[in-house]
Amino acid sequence: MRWRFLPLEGDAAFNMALDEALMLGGRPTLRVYRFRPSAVTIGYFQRVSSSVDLEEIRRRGIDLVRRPTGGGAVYHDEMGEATYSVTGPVDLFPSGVEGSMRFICEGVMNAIRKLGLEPEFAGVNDVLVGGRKVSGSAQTREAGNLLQHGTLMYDTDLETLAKVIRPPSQKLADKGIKSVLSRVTTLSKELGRGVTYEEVKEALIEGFSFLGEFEERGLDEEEWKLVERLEEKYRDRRWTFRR
Amino acid sequence: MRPKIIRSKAGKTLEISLSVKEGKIEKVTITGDFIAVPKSAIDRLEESLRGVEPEKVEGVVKEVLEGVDLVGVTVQEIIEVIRELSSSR
Repeated sequence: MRWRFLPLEGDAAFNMALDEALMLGGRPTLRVYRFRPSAVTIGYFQRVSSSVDLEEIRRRGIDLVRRPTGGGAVYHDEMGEATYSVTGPVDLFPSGVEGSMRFICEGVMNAIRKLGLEPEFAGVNDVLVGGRKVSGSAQTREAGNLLQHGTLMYDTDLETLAKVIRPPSQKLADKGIKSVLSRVTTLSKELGRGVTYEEVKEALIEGFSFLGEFEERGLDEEEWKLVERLEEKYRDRRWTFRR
Repeated sequence: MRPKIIRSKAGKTLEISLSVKEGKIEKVTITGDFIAVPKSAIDRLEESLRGVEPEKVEGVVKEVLEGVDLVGVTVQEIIEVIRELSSSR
């Protein structure tokens, strides 16, 4: 199977518009990208006020956008987080959402192994190292195609993360953990050295090679038009604040 | 609108806010960090629950969510929270 590797990145609204456009287009595509500037994304079904600290987000000048996919709030640190997205026809993947999420997460786990750490899959969409979360993923499907995207924290400023994302108190109480800081980590922390974005990007591309062969290519004109149209939605505050 | 937040068995958050008028559900919002495919199912469920009596909640939720791929939360968990919020006033 021939896959496209698409080396495009931008701000939060652009990144989400591009991921949705790739899903609707349906050409098998892998992206590895950053959020420039840093941003918080929230899941499609999340309530803004319950999932993030808006005041902290504003004070720090961090972008906020609602994703097309479900799942939880994510802090995308421009200097310490890599996001991947996988899009293509659903028949390229195991049938259900849960099974296909686990299947695609193998790419993240391969990347972590390649960097010298032992990952562990947890819950339905998390990847841990040393018992702490380094990656979370989310998926949606439309028009017979699938979009899964997820995060890999290699040097995220965890204090900022802990301030901008509101932990559901119940979640933490259940786990008997006092703070967000004690349940997340980064690849740099775990390896005891500074990991670079380029390293992580290469590791992810290699990690996803079980999907097929990658060829670096851009968007065609029709895809660009769709991205531009979808960008308007993601730039509209009503979209982000709809719940 | 009174909210109720639970942690699902799968470890996700389910937050439902609901108001009741004359014994029927007036408005309900279903939010959280779960995944539902197709995603329009949750909007459709909120719509379908308007004007529904507490004892009919189970049937409506089951019907609307039939065939919907839910991850992180179950149909039963959604039913339980809505039933509790709609019958406790």
